[in-house]
Amino acid sequence: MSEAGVPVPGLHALDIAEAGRRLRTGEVTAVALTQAALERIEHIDGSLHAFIHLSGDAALRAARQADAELEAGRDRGPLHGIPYAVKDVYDVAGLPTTCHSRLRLDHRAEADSAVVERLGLAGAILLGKLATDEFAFGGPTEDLPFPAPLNPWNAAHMTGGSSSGSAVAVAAGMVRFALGTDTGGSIRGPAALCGLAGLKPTFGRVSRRGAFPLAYSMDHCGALAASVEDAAIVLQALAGHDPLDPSSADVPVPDFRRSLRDGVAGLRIGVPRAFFATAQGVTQEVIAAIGRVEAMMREARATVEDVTLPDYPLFSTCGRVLLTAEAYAVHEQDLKSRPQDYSALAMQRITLGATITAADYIQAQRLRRELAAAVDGALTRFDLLLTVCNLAAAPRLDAMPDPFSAPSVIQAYPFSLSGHPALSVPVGLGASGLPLSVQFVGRYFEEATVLRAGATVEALTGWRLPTLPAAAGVQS
Amino acid sequence: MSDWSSPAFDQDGAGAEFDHAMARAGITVPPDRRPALVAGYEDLKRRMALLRQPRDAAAEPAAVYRVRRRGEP
Repeated sequence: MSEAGVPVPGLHALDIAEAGRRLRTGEVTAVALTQAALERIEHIDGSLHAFIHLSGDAALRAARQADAELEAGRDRGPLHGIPYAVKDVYDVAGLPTTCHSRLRLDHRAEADSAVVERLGLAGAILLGKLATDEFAFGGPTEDLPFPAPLNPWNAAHMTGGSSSGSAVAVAAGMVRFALGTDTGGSIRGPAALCGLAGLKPTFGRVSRRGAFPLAYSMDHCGALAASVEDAAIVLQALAGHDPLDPSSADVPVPDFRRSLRDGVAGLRIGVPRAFFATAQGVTQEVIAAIGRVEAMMREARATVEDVTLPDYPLFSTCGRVLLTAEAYAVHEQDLKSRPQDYSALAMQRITLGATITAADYIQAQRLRRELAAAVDGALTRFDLLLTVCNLAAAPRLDAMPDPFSAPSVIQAYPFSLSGHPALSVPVGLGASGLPLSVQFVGRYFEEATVLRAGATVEALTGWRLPTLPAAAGVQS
Repeated sequence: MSDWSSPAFDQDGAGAEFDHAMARAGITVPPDRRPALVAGYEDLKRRMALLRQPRDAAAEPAAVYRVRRRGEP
């Protein structure tokens, strides 16, 4: 806040580390950061629709407490006083967890989800809840209780999903990070299309308690962030064993920022080129972008070689069957009693689970075992895998008139199934002026190596999220 | 978020199978939503042939992961 009591312009562009430095020198306050974020949301979200629910008063109360604590010498760490928001599948005590669905407009959460609890203990300031594809499984359709978010790079193009509101809020500078969930790419995909770092941690690294399930065996919790360092800082707060989540892993949590500046010299990187080289819908600019990243990695003294993995359709079919069957198990009763309250797209996708037999599901789990072993085997020979995340920059919405038959533009299933940590990181802009990204995948619980590679790419490409025009909603 | 493609045909057999599955599940499908659902069902069935290939005993449906330390085979 300035001496005149006016929020300092440009606060939304401060990375978490710099905002933290200024908080501790007294150059800025948590209240000023929160006010600046709320004003930016008020100014631009009317056209972008990232937020479903804004908790401005509660956020300012939390910010005042954060400032008082810092003044009193109680420092909760790097996220102390930093505003953020959550995808509306996470429980926040006293607020509805709508999952962007008519079915849950009357819901009220009794307790915070584990990740909200952890971020609260870390001193982060919750601003509100963000739009999503319905139940993280629908799409940006018009038959929903809240409007679908628009891509702040260009509103005529897709944001990706399902963590669409999270991607839009971060890309438009409303917050530096937002929580998403990733079952079949729902963190990595929208992060890639909106120019963000999107990290799906190892299965078990981050507690899922209090997150509405999509598919129990594939759901991952994590964050979309404006930079790789921001993503590392957030993971530090999110990671850790939760005895109340049966899928939570009791493993040590390293310092995720320690090696961010170490480069990639000596690392062995495998490229599963057959996944994407001839995939339907892949663009030449994406092929060229991954080629540039390979060259950068070699120049930075990493070893880069092609690696053979099972055919991509095996991964996508296996993932689709498991996800659909498990989602149906979650929604079985509501589909019988309130089918009209689902959007048409969500209903179609979930209902198909009723056609999957127990034998189909078990065969898919057996295949999953083989596929996960193949990925893990490749990661005994390589420290990292490098592949595409999306096969193209964000497609135009009007180029996909029928959401029921929309072709996939994302290749995320292999690591959703295998549980390995995977990071989408932007590498520049394509011909349409929209972000292009690549995906790094690491060994189980070696998120630090994945983040290190991402930070190296960010440094070598000079990528920095720009302040996107507030009038993006009227671009075409 | 995933790859959904719908074939442009609706075979009678697939439609009947789909209707049977819905009846068994107790789901009432609005008539205007049925064509897209049947098309999605046909696509899903076609893909599921990929699931049924020979596998060995190691491919049991367990979803437990193991941390391999650097250098460990």
